[in-house]
Amino acid sequence: MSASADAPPPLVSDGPRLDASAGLPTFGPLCWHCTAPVWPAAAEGEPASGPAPTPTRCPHCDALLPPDPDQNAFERLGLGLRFAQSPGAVDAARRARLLAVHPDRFTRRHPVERALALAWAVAINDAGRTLQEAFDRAQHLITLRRPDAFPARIRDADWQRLYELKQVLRELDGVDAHVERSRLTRLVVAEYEQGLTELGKDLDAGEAPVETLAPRLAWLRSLRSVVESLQA
Amino acid sequence: MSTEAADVAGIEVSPGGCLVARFEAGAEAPSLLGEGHPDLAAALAALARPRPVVLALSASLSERERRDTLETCAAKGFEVLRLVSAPLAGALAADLAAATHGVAAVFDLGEDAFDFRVVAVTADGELEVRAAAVERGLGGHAMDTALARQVLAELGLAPTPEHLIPAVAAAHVARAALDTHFSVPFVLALPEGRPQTRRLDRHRFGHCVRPQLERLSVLVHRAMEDAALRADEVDEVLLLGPGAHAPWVRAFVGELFMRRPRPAPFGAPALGAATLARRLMNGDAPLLLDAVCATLGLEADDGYIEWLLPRGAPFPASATRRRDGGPVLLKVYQGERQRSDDCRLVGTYQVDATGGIAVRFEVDADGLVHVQARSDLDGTARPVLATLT
Repeated sequence: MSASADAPPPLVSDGPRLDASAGLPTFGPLCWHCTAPVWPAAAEGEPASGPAPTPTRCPHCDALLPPDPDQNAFERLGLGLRFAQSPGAVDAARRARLLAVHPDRFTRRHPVERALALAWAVAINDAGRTLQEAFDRAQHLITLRRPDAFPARIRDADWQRLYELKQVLRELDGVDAHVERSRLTRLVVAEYEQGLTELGKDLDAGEAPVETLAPRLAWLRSLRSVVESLQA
Repeated sequence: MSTEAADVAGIEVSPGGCLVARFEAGAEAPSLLGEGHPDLAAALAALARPRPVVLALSASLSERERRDTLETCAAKGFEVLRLVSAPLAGALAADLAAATHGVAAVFDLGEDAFDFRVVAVTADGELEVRAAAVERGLGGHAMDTALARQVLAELGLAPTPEHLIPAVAAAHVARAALDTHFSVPFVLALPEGRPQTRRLDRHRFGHCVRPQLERLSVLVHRAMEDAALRADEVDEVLLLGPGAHAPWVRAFVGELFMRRPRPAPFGAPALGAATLARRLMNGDAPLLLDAVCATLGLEADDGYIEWLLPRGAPFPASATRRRDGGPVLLKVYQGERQRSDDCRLVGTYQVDATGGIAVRFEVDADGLVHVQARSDLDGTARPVLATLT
């Protein structure tokens, strides 16, 4: 970047710690620092080949750009939009992205960049937390398909099963039934895991409508709370 | 100690906000400033020249004390580059990255708090916390009190403040002496009568503090379970803090991990903070990726806790919850229990807005909690001030 009277200030500052609540540049097609376009415009007549990954840094002045608020957790970590993800792969993707934008990498940079680095790090860690657990991943996928999918009503057959489980829990309460409690816990955990696996397969197949997927996830949430009660 | 002018310094802040030690970059020994000083501001004023600093904070400091420390430093002209937890700063000082490229257990037993971290060390020298466990009130002081109570019971004395305070002080002296001696005199000077003297050995002290050691064991096992690791998978065990020097603690940690623990150098957190400050200024600092040490939650109307960030979640991170408008007091708690009465209050935030509000809780890279509320009355999101009361 050439130094001229109109040029933005250098990206190094000795200023005080930035108050994160201060106004930050918002996500947009132009760099907040050098005002150059950060996305190359598609050539006329060229077919669109899907959304291009949003850049982290300006290709012209290397300033850190704001994160795209509309990105979902999968896009944020560069992972495919599917349920079948290993926790190790999610963590590796989170780590790799975090290392590039961690606020400690921007200690002596412009205060705006420091605040943006914090925003990036928060967004990446939040995305990692959303995708780490299979249950949260399934919920995120369903919400992406239909944002108002929750709260969902549990199916009648599942209500019946939940009622039975609550009855057993009440009977176990207050009596020393460690063996019975452990047996029931194993049973419910197995049912929960099987239900989640099947839901994941249906999510990845992409054929089942959201109207049937959301109640199944709501049922799994109830099962999970039963497990928590049993383990308490 | 080197007195050459240095550009950076690390400061260790002990419970209660007392400044304990300051390390100049490149110095081999700490410059003790205001040890036990009740007034942090006065101690900081002694550091006349404004300069960038990194603060290593004890786990026992509250959110308010952390913010006060930060504000005091800023008021005195310091540019605080970073707040780090004492175990991570200590791990940096002990050059953990050079010692291992696997998983290390950092066992920080201070006078007033226990702070345990399972740290993954990468080949690039980055330290990433895999699991953490913190308990305030569990440390050297609790062990001194346990011994003092035992001695008073043997003497047939009630544990009233006038008996307990000198007994705890005597236990503290004895604990320090037992670091190097097998048996020491325990001299109890009570307000009335002649001083009582008894012999005290390591075995006896270790026996008295068995309940505290068992509690430590529970916390360590829980953290290891969170990290999905067995004790024999840990490559290095680092001991930090004045409470960890005791022989019975060293032996206990050795038994837990089936390996001899390595004691960190004296003043390790302050030394690590200075190292980090220097490397941040040079632009070659290793990343210290910390994690939430106790589940962060928001109190609901019925006194139950609505979880925001689970224990072990890496930060910086955030969570958003919706609340009805009007003057709202948002109480943020830390702890693993379901009811707010059983958890520790982090802070109370006052939000005054009409209509529904979306409240965003953010833990920044320094571990400080920020609360921002947005009112979405008539469809527009407007920021609303949330103040820590």
